[in-house]
Amino acid sequence: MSSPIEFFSNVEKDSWVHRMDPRVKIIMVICLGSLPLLFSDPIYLLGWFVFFAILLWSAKIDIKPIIALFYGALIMVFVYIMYGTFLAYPPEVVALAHFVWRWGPLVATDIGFFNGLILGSRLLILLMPVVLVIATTEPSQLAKGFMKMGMPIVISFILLATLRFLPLVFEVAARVMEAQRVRGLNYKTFKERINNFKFLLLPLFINTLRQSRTLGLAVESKGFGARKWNEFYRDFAMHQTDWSVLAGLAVFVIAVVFVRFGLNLGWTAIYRP
Amino acid sequence: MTTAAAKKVGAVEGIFKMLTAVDLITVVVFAALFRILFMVYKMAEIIFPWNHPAWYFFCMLCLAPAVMIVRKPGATFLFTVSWLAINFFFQGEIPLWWIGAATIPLIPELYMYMRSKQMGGPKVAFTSLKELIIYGLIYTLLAYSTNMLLIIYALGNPMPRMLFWPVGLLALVIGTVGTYLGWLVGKRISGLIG
Repeated sequence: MSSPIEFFSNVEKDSWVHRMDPRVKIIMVICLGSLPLLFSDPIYLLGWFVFFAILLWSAKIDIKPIIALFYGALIMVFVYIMYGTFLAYPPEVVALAHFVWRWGPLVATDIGFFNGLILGSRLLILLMPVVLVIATTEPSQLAKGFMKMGMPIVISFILLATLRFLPLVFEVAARVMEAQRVRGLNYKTFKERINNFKFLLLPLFINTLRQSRTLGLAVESKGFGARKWNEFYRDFAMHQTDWSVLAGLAVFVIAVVFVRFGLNLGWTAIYRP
Repeated sequence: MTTAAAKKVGAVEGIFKMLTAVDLITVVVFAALFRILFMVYKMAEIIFPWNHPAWYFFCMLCLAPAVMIVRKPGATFLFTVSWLAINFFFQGEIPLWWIGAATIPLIPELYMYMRSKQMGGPKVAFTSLKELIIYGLIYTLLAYSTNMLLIIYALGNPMPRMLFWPVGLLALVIGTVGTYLGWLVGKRISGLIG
Protein backbone atom coordinates (compact mmCIF):
# COMPACT_ATOMS: atom_id res chain seq x y z
CA MET A 1 0.00 0.00 0.00
CA SER A 2 1.40 3.40 -0.93
CA SER A 3 1.70 6.10 1.70
CA PRO A 4 -1.51 8.14 2.03
CA ILE A 5 0.50 11.37 1.56
CA GLU A 6 1.84 10.22 -1.79
CA PHE A 7 -1.52 8.82 -2.70
CA PHE A 8 -3.31 12.14 -2.37
CA SER A 9 -0.63 14.11 -4.22
CA ASN A 10 -2.94 14.62 -7.23
CA VAL A 11 -5.88 15.93 -5.21
CA GLU A 12 -4.70 19.57 -5.12
CA LYS A 13 -4.43 19.91 -8.91
CA ASP A 14 -6.99 21.69 -11.02
CA SER A 15 -8.80 20.04 -13.90
CA TRP A 16 -12.37 19.50 -15.08
CA VAL A 17 -12.50 16.21 -13.12
CA HIS A 18 -11.17 17.89 -9.96
CA ARG A 19 -13.89 20.56 -10.20
CA MET A 20 -16.68 18.02 -10.66
CA ASP A 21 -19.24 17.47 -7.89
CA PRO A 22 -18.34 14.38 -5.80
CA ARG A 23 -21.82 12.93 -6.40
CA VAL A 24 -21.26 12.97 -10.16
CA LYS A 25 -17.90 11.28 -9.60
CA ILE A 26 -19.52 8.55 -7.50
CA ILE A 27 -22.09 7.86 -10.22
CA MET A 28 -19.32 7.97 -12.82
CA VAL A 29 -17.15 5.43 -11.01
CA ILE A 30 -20.09 3.05 -10.59
CA CYS A 31 -20.95 3.23 -14.32
CA LEU A 32 -17.46 3.29 -15.82
CA GLY A 33 -16.12 0.79 -13.31
CA SER A 34 -18.63 -1.84 -14.43
CA LEU A 35 -19.26 -1.29 -18.16
CA PRO A 36 -15.94 -2.77 -19.46
CA LEU A 37 -17.02 -6.11 -17.94
CA LEU A 38 -19.55 -6.40 -20.75
CA PHE A 39 -16.76 -6.62 -23.32
CA SER A 40 -14.16 -9.24 -24.12
CA ASP A 41 -13.10 -8.34 -27.65
CA PRO A 42 -9.45 -7.12 -27.49
CA ILE A 43 -10.16 -4.22 -29.89
CA TYR A 44 -12.98 -2.93 -27.69
CA LEU A 45 -10.90 -3.44 -24.54
CA LEU A 46 -8.12 -1.45 -26.15
CA GLY A 47 -10.72 1.23 -26.87
CA TRP A 48 -11.70 1.31 -23.19
CA PHE A 49 -8.02 1.52 -22.19
CA VAL A 50 -7.40 4.46 -24.54
CA PHE A 51 -10.60 6.16 -23.36
CA PHE A 52 -9.61 5.88 -19.69
CA ALA A 53 -6.01 6.89 -20.45
CA ILE A 54 -7.33 10.07 -22.12
CA LEU A 55 -9.55 10.76 -19.09
CA LEU A 56 -6.57 10.30 -16.72
CA TRP A 57 -4.42 12.54 -18.92
CA SER A 58 -7.09 15.24 -19.15
CA ALA A 59 -7.43 15.14 -15.34
CA LYS A 60 -3.67 15.96 -15.12
CA ILE A 61 -3.02 12.89 -12.99
CA ASP A 62 0.60 12.09 -12.27
CA ILE A 63 0.75 8.30 -12.19
CA LYS A 64 4.16 8.03 -10.47
CA PRO A 65 3.04 8.63 -6.85
CA ILE A 66 0.11 6.22 -7.23
CA ILE A 67 1.81 3.57 -9.36
CA ALA A 68 1.76 1.14 -6.39
CA LEU A 69 -2.00 0.89 -6.93
CA PHE A 70 -1.39 -0.86 -10.23
CA TYR A 71 1.22 -3.33 -8.92
CA GLY A 72 -1.39 -5.61 -7.32
CA ALA A 73 -3.43 -5.57 -10.52
CA LEU A 74 -0.32 -6.33 -12.60
CA ILE A 75 0.43 -9.39 -10.45
CA MET A 76 -3.14 -10.53 -11.01
CA VAL A 77 -2.75 -10.01 -14.77
CA PHE A 78 0.33 -12.28 -14.58
CA VAL A 79 -1.66 -14.88 -12.63
CA TYR A 80 -4.49 -14.69 -15.21
CA ILE A 81 -2.00 -15.20 -18.06
CA MET A 82 -0.30 -18.15 -16.33
CA TYR A 83 -3.60 -19.88 -15.53
CA GLY A 84 -4.99 -19.05 -18.96
CA THR A 85 -1.94 -20.39 -20.79
CA PHE A 86 -1.55 -23.65 -18.90
CA LEU A 87 -5.18 -24.44 -18.24
CA ALA A 88 -6.36 -27.88 -19.36
CA TYR A 89 -8.58 -26.88 -22.28
CA PRO A 90 -10.73 -29.52 -24.02
CA PRO A 91 -9.12 -31.15 -27.12
CA GLU A 92 -11.47 -29.29 -29.52
CA VAL A 93 -10.12 -25.95 -28.19
CA VAL A 94 -6.47 -27.15 -28.31
CA ALA A 95 -7.10 -28.25 -31.94
CA LEU A 96 -7.84 -24.59 -32.81
CA ALA A 97 -4.47 -23.42 -31.47
CA HIS A 98 -1.70 -22.33 -33.83
CA PHE A 99 0.96 -22.91 -31.24
CA VAL A 100 1.04 -25.81 -28.76
CA TRP A 101 3.90 -26.45 -26.33
CA ARG A 102 3.92 -29.56 -24.17
CA TRP A 103 6.06 -30.06 -21.08
CA GLY A 104 5.12 -33.10 -19.08
CA PRO A 105 1.50 -32.72 -17.98
CA LEU A 106 1.49 -29.01 -18.88
CA VAL A 107 0.12 -27.90 -22.24
CA ALA A 108 0.53 -24.27 -23.25
CA THR A 109 -1.42 -22.83 -26.18
CA ASP A 110 -1.55 -19.44 -27.86
CA ILE A 111 -5.34 -19.44 -27.40
CA GLY A 112 -4.88 -19.88 -23.65
CA PHE A 113 -2.25 -17.13 -23.51
CA PHE A 114 -4.52 -14.61 -25.27
CA ASN A 115 -7.45 -15.76 -23.16
CA GLY A 116 -5.51 -14.98 -19.97
CA LEU A 117 -4.23 -11.70 -21.41
CA ILE A 118 -7.73 -10.51 -22.35
CA LEU A 119 -9.22 -11.38 -18.96
CA GLY A 120 -6.25 -9.94 -17.06
CA SER A 121 -6.19 -6.69 -19.02
CA ARG A 122 -9.90 -6.25 -18.35
CA LEU A 123 -9.08 -6.26 -14.63
CA LEU A 124 -6.50 -3.53 -15.16
CA ILE A 125 -8.96 -1.48 -17.24
CA LEU A 126 -11.60 -1.70 -14.48
CA LEU A 127 -9.14 -0.11 -12.05
CA MET A 128 -8.58 2.99 -14.21
CA PRO A 129 -11.90 4.86 -13.59
CA VAL A 130 -11.58 4.18 -9.86
CA VAL A 131 -8.10 5.73 -9.90
CA LEU A 132 -9.50 8.70 -11.84
CA VAL A 133 -12.00 9.43 -9.08
CA ILE A 134 -9.95 8.73 -5.97
CA ALA A 135 -6.90 10.59 -7.27
CA THR A 136 -8.90 13.74 -8.01
CA THR A 137 -11.11 13.93 -4.92
CA GLU A 138 -10.40 14.55 -1.27
CA PRO A 139 -11.75 11.52 0.62
CA SER A 140 -13.73 13.80 2.93
CA GLN A 141 -15.45 15.30 -0.14
CA LEU A 142 -16.35 11.81 -1.34
CA ALA A 143 -17.77 10.99 2.08
CA LYS A 144 -19.80 14.22 1.99
CA GLY A 145 -20.98 13.26 -1.48
CA PHE A 146 -22.19 9.92 -0.15
CA MET A 147 -23.99 11.72 2.69
CA LYS A 148 -25.69 14.12 0.29
CA MET A 149 -26.86 11.08 -1.66
CA GLY A 150 -28.68 9.90 1.47
CA MET A 151 -26.15 7.65 3.15
CA PRO A 152 -26.76 7.31 6.92
CA ILE A 153 -24.57 9.44 9.19
CA VAL A 154 -23.10 6.33 10.85
CA ILE A 155 -21.71 4.99 7.58
CA SER A 156 -20.43 8.43 6.53
CA PHE A 157 -18.73 8.75 9.92
CA ILE A 158 -17.17 5.33 9.39
CA LEU A 159 -15.81 6.46 5.99
CA LEU A 160 -14.25 9.58 7.47
CA ALA A 161 -12.92 7.83 10.59
CA THR A 162 -11.35 5.12 8.45
CA LEU A 163 -9.25 7.70 6.63
CA ARG A 164 -8.27 9.30 9.92
CA PHE A 165 -7.19 6.09 11.63
CA LEU A 166 -5.27 4.25 8.96
CA PRO A 167 -2.18 6.51 9.31
CA LEU A 168 -2.54 6.28 13.12
CA VAL A 169 -2.31 2.48 13.02
CA PHE A 170 0.82 2.72 10.84
CA GLU A 171 2.30 5.21 13.31
CA VAL A 172 1.55 3.03 16.36
CA ALA A 173 2.95 -0.08 14.60
CA ALA A 174 6.20 1.77 13.81
CA ARG A 175 6.46 3.00 17.40
CA VAL A 176 5.84 -0.44 18.94
CA MET A 177 8.39 -2.05 16.59
CA GLU A 178 10.93 0.65 17.46
CA ALA A 179 10.39 0.07 21.19
CA GLN A 180 10.80 -3.68 20.67
CA ARG A 181 14.01 -3.17 18.68
CA VAL A 182 15.45 -1.14 21.58
CA ARG A 183 14.71 -4.14 23.80
CA GLY A 184 16.56 -6.51 21.46
CA LEU A 185 13.93 -7.81 19.02
CA ASN A 186 14.97 -7.87 15.38
CA TYR A 187 12.74 -7.36 12.33
CA LYS A 188 15.49 -7.66 9.72
CA THR A 189 14.96 -11.05 8.08
CA PHE A 190 11.67 -12.53 6.91
CA LYS A 191 11.92 -15.31 9.53
CA GLU A 192 12.45 -12.78 12.32
CA ARG A 193 9.46 -10.78 11.13
CA ILE A 194 7.22 -13.86 11.23
CA ASN A 195 8.51 -15.01 14.63
CA ASN A 196 8.22 -11.58 16.22
CA PHE A 197 4.79 -10.86 14.72
CA LYS A 198 3.04 -12.27 17.81
CA PHE A 199 4.88 -9.78 20.05
CA LEU A 200 3.72 -6.91 17.88
CA LEU A 201 0.05 -7.82 17.65
CA LEU A 202 -1.29 -7.24 21.17
CA PRO A 203 0.55 -3.95 21.92
CA LEU A 204 -0.51 -2.69 18.48
CA PHE A 205 -4.18 -3.51 19.11
CA ILE A 206 -4.22 -2.06 22.63
CA ASN A 207 -2.23 1.12 21.92
CA THR A 208 -4.29 1.97 18.83
CA LEU A 209 -7.55 1.40 20.66
CA ARG A 210 -6.51 3.48 23.67
CA GLN A 211 -5.56 6.44 21.49
CA SER A 212 -8.58 6.31 19.23
CA ARG A 213 -11.29 5.75 21.80
CA THR A 214 -10.51 9.14 23.36
CA LEU A 215 -11.63 10.73 20.09
CA GLY A 216 -14.79 8.64 20.24
CA LEU A 217 -15.58 10.07 23.67
CA ALA A 218 -15.00 13.61 22.37
CA VAL A 219 -17.36 13.03 19.43
CA GLU A 220 -19.92 11.46 21.76
CA SER A 221 -19.81 14.44 24.12
CA LYS A 222 -20.70 16.72 21.21
CA GLY A 223 -23.98 14.87 20.69
CA PHE A 224 -23.05 12.58 17.81
CA GLY A 225 -26.11 11.17 16.07
CA ALA A 226 -28.56 13.43 17.87
CA ARG A 227 -29.59 15.11 14.64
CA LYS A 228 -28.95 14.90 10.92
CA TRP A 229 -25.48 15.94 9.84
CA ASN A 230 -26.33 17.81 6.69
CA GLU A 231 -24.66 21.17 7.17
CA PHE A 232 -21.08 21.49 6.06
CA TYR A 233 -18.45 24.13 6.67
CA ARG A 234 -17.39 23.78 3.03
CA ASP A 235 -20.57 22.98 1.19
CA PHE A 236 -20.89 22.16 -2.48
CA ALA A 237 -23.70 22.21 -5.02
CA MET A 238 -24.35 20.82 -8.49
CA HIS A 239 -23.43 23.28 -11.25
CA GLN A 240 -24.39 23.47 -14.91
CA THR A 241 -21.24 21.53 -15.89
CA ASP A 242 -22.05 18.74 -13.44
CA TRP A 243 -25.52 18.32 -14.91
CA SER A 244 -23.99 18.29 -18.41
CA VAL A 245 -21.47 15.59 -17.41
CA LEU A 246 -24.27 13.57 -15.83
CA ALA A 247 -26.39 13.84 -18.99
CA GLY A 248 -23.36 12.94 -21.15
CA LEU A 249 -22.70 9.94 -18.91
CA ALA A 250 -26.31 8.76 -19.26
CA VAL A 251 -26.08 8.99 -23.06
CA PHE A 252 -22.71 7.18 -22.98
CA VAL A 253 -24.09 4.32 -20.84
CA ILE A 254 -27.10 3.88 -23.15
CA ALA A 255 -24.81 3.94 -26.22
CA VAL A 256 -22.44 1.33 -24.72
CA VAL A 257 -25.29 -0.98 -23.74
CA PHE A 258 -26.78 -0.58 -27.24
CA VAL A 259 -23.44 -1.40 -28.92
CA ARG A 260 -23.00 -4.47 -26.74
CA PHE A 261 -26.54 -5.89 -26.74
CA GLY A 262 -28.37 -4.06 -29.55
CA LEU A 263 -25.64 -4.53 -32.14
CA ASN A 264 -24.13 -7.58 -30.39
CA LEU A 265 -20.61 -6.24 -30.78
CA GLY A 266 -17.54 -6.36 -28.52
CA TRP A 267 -17.71 -9.97 -27.39
CA THR A 268 -15.46 -12.85 -28.39
CA ALA A 269 -15.56 -16.38 -27.03
CA ILE A 270 -13.71 -16.84 -23.77
CA TYR A 271 -12.72 -20.49 -23.52
CA ARG A 272 -13.66 -22.12 -20.27
CA PRO A 273 -11.95 -25.25 -18.98
CA MET B 1 -31.78 14.10 22.51
CA THR B 2 -34.95 16.20 22.12
CA THR B 3 -38.05 14.66 20.54
CA ALA B 4 -37.84 16.98 17.52
CA ALA B 5 -34.18 16.18 17.01
CA ALA B 6 -34.80 12.46 17.44
CA LYS B 7 -37.38 12.59 14.66
CA LYS B 8 -34.74 13.95 12.33
CA VAL B 9 -32.73 10.80 12.65
CA GLY B 10 -33.60 8.69 9.60
CA ALA B 11 -35.19 5.28 9.76
CA VAL B 12 -32.05 3.56 8.44
CA GLU B 13 -29.92 5.31 11.01
CA GLY B 14 -32.23 3.90 13.65
CA ILE B 15 -30.71 0.46 13.01
CA PHE B 16 -27.36 1.79 14.16
CA LYS B 17 -28.64 4.04 16.94
CA MET B 18 -27.39 1.60 19.57
CA LEU B 19 -23.83 2.17 18.43
CA THR B 20 -21.99 5.05 20.07
CA ALA B 21 -19.12 7.00 18.51
CA VAL B 22 -16.70 5.00 20.70
CA ASP B 23 -18.12 1.77 19.26
CA LEU B 24 -17.79 3.07 15.72
CA ILE B 25 -14.19 4.08 16.27
CA THR B 26 -13.41 0.71 17.84
CA VAL B 27 -14.81 -1.02 14.74
CA VAL B 28 -12.88 1.33 12.43
CA VAL B 29 -9.60 0.73 14.25
CA PHE B 30 -9.97 -3.04 13.93
CA ALA B 31 -10.84 -2.67 10.25
CA ALA B 32 -7.73 -0.52 9.77
CA LEU B 33 -5.66 -3.15 11.57
CA PHE B 34 -7.13 -5.82 9.29
CA ARG B 35 -6.27 -3.76 6.23
CA ILE B 36 -2.67 -3.39 7.38
CA LEU B 37 -2.30 -7.12 8.11
CA PHE B 38 -4.01 -7.71 4.74
CA MET B 39 -0.76 -6.59 3.09
CA VAL B 40 0.59 -10.09 3.81
CA TYR B 41 -2.21 -11.44 1.59
CA LYS B 42 -1.41 -8.92 -1.13
CA MET B 43 2.29 -9.79 -1.07
CA ALA B 44 1.45 -13.45 -1.65
CA GLU B 45 -0.86 -12.73 -4.60
CA ILE B 46 1.50 -14.58 -6.92
CA ILE B 47 0.38 -17.90 -5.42
CA PHE B 48 -3.32 -17.11 -6.04
CA PRO B 49 -5.74 -18.65 -4.97
CA TRP B 50 -3.66 -20.19 -2.17
CA ASN B 51 -3.13 -16.77 -0.63
CA HIS B 52 -6.87 -16.51 0.04
CA PRO B 53 -6.91 -18.30 3.43
CA ALA B 54 -4.59 -15.54 4.77
CA TRP B 55 -7.35 -13.02 3.99
CA TYR B 56 -9.87 -14.84 6.20
CA PHE B 57 -7.31 -15.44 8.94
CA PHE B 58 -6.54 -11.72 9.34
CA CYS B 59 -10.16 -10.75 8.85
CA MET B 60 -11.34 -13.00 11.67
CA LEU B 61 -8.35 -12.11 13.84
CA CYS B 62 -9.58 -8.49 13.78
CA LEU B 63 -13.34 -9.01 13.49
CA ALA B 64 -13.63 -11.36 16.51
CA PRO B 65 -12.13 -8.89 19.05
CA ALA B 66 -14.07 -6.01 17.44
CA VAL B 67 -17.44 -7.67 17.99
CA MET B 68 -16.36 -8.94 21.43
CA ILE B 69 -15.68 -5.38 22.55
CA VAL B 70 -18.64 -3.67 20.85
CA ARG B 71 -21.21 -6.49 21.33
CA LYS B 72 -24.00 -4.74 19.43
CA PRO B 73 -25.94 -5.48 16.25
CA GLY B 74 -24.52 -3.66 13.25
CA ALA B 75 -20.87 -3.96 14.30
CA THR B 76 -20.09 -6.68 11.72
CA PHE B 77 -21.76 -4.70 8.96
CA LEU B 78 -19.85 -1.55 9.85
CA PHE B 79 -16.56 -3.48 10.09
CA THR B 80 -17.18 -4.70 6.53
CA VAL B 81 -18.11 -1.21 5.31
CA SER B 82 -14.99 0.12 6.97
CA TRP B 83 -12.51 -2.22 5.29
CA LEU B 84 -14.36 -1.76 2.00
CA ALA B 85 -13.87 2.00 2.38
CA ILE B 86 -10.15 1.52 3.02
CA ASN B 87 -9.95 -0.74 -0.01
CA PHE B 88 -11.71 1.84 -2.14
CA PHE B 89 -9.65 4.84 -1.05
CA PHE B 90 -6.23 3.19 -0.91
CA GLN B 91 -6.45 0.34 -3.38
CA GLY B 92 -9.10 1.30 -5.91
CA GLU B 93 -11.71 -1.39 -5.33
CA ILE B 94 -13.98 -2.34 -8.21
CA PRO B 95 -17.53 -1.00 -7.49
CA LEU B 96 -19.11 -4.32 -8.47
CA TRP B 97 -17.48 -5.88 -5.41
CA TRP B 98 -19.27 -3.47 -3.03
CA ILE B 99 -22.66 -5.00 -3.77
CA GLY B 100 -21.49 -8.52 -2.96
CA ALA B 101 -19.37 -7.54 0.03
CA ALA B 102 -22.13 -5.49 1.66
CA THR B 103 -24.29 -8.63 1.92
CA ILE B 104 -21.59 -10.76 3.65
CA PRO B 105 -22.28 -9.59 7.23
CA LEU B 106 -26.07 -9.87 7.13
CA ILE B 107 -26.42 -13.57 8.05
CA PRO B 108 -23.63 -13.56 10.71
CA GLU B 109 -25.29 -10.46 12.23
CA LEU B 110 -28.64 -12.22 12.30
CA TYR B 111 -27.11 -15.36 13.83
CA MET B 112 -25.46 -13.42 16.67
CA TYR B 113 -28.61 -11.38 17.22
CA MET B 114 -30.69 -14.56 17.59
CA ARG B 115 -28.14 -16.23 19.83
CA SER B 116 -27.91 -13.11 22.01
CA LYS B 117 -31.67 -13.25 22.53
CA GLN B 118 -31.60 -16.98 23.30
CA MET B 119 -28.59 -16.82 25.59
CA GLY B 120 -29.87 -13.90 27.67
CA GLY B 121 -27.79 -11.03 26.35
CA PRO B 122 -25.09 -10.01 23.87
CA LYS B 123 -22.34 -10.18 26.48
CA VAL B 124 -22.79 -13.94 26.87
CA ALA B 125 -23.13 -14.63 23.15
CA PHE B 126 -20.27 -12.44 21.96
CA THR B 127 -17.80 -13.81 24.49
CA SER B 128 -18.69 -17.47 23.91
CA LEU B 129 -15.93 -19.18 21.89
CA LYS B 130 -18.39 -21.65 20.37
CA GLU B 131 -20.72 -18.91 19.15
CA LEU B 132 -17.85 -16.86 17.80
CA ILE B 133 -16.47 -19.83 15.89
CA ILE B 134 -19.86 -20.52 14.28
CA TYR B 135 -20.23 -16.82 13.52
CA GLY B 136 -16.69 -16.78 12.06
CA LEU B 137 -17.42 -19.84 9.93
CA ILE B 138 -20.55 -18.22 8.49
CA TYR B 139 -18.70 -14.98 7.77
CA THR B 140 -15.74 -16.80 6.19
CA LEU B 141 -18.00 -19.01 4.09
CA LEU B 142 -20.01 -16.06 2.79
CA ALA B 143 -16.93 -13.91 2.21
CA TYR B 144 -15.16 -16.73 0.38
CA SER B 145 -18.18 -17.48 -1.80
CA THR B 146 -18.69 -13.80 -2.65
CA ASN B 147 -14.98 -13.34 -3.37
CA MET B 148 -14.81 -16.36 -5.62
CA LEU B 149 -18.06 -15.58 -7.43
CA LEU B 150 -16.67 -12.16 -8.30
CA ILE B 151 -13.23 -13.45 -9.21
CA ILE B 152 -14.36 -16.43 -11.27
CA TYR B 153 -17.64 -15.32 -12.84
CA ALA B 154 -17.57 -11.52 -12.98
CA LEU B 155 -13.85 -11.00 -13.54
CA GLY B 156 -13.43 -14.30 -15.38
CA ASN B 157 -10.28 -15.48 -13.59
CA PRO B 158 -9.23 -18.67 -15.40
CA MET B 159 -8.09 -20.47 -12.21
CA PRO B 160 -8.89 -24.20 -12.32
CA ARG B 161 -12.39 -24.61 -10.90
CA MET B 162 -11.35 -27.73 -8.96
CA LEU B 163 -9.28 -25.47 -6.67
CA PHE B 164 -12.46 -23.82 -5.41
CA TRP B 165 -13.21 -26.55 -2.84
CA PRO B 166 -9.74 -27.27 -1.33
CA VAL B 167 -8.96 -23.55 -1.06
CA GLY B 168 -12.41 -22.96 0.45
CA LEU B 169 -11.88 -25.72 3.00
CA LEU B 170 -8.47 -24.34 3.91
CA ALA B 171 -9.98 -20.84 4.21
CA LEU B 172 -12.58 -22.17 6.67
CA VAL B 173 -9.91 -23.90 8.78
CA ILE B 174 -7.53 -20.93 8.75
CA GLY B 175 -10.45 -18.56 9.34
CA THR B 176 -11.41 -20.60 12.42
CA VAL B 177 -7.83 -20.38 13.71
CA GLY B 178 -8.08 -16.61 13.16
CA THR B 179 -11.36 -16.51 15.12
CA TYR B 180 -9.79 -18.46 17.99
CA LEU B 181 -6.76 -16.18 18.15
CA GLY B 182 -9.06 -13.18 17.79
CA TRP B 183 -11.10 -14.47 20.74
CA LEU B 184 -7.91 -14.70 22.84
CA VAL B 185 -6.92 -11.18 21.78
CA GLY B 186 -10.45 -9.92 22.48
CA LYS B 187 -10.42 -11.39 25.98
CA ARG B 188 -7.09 -9.74 26.76
CA ILE B 189 -8.12 -6.38 25.33
CA SER B 190 -11.52 -6.39 27.06
CA GLY B 191 -9.71 -6.96 30.34
CA LEU B 192 -7.15 -4.24 29.70
CA ILE B 193 -9.36 -1.43 28.39
CA GLY B 194 -12.28 -2.19 30.68
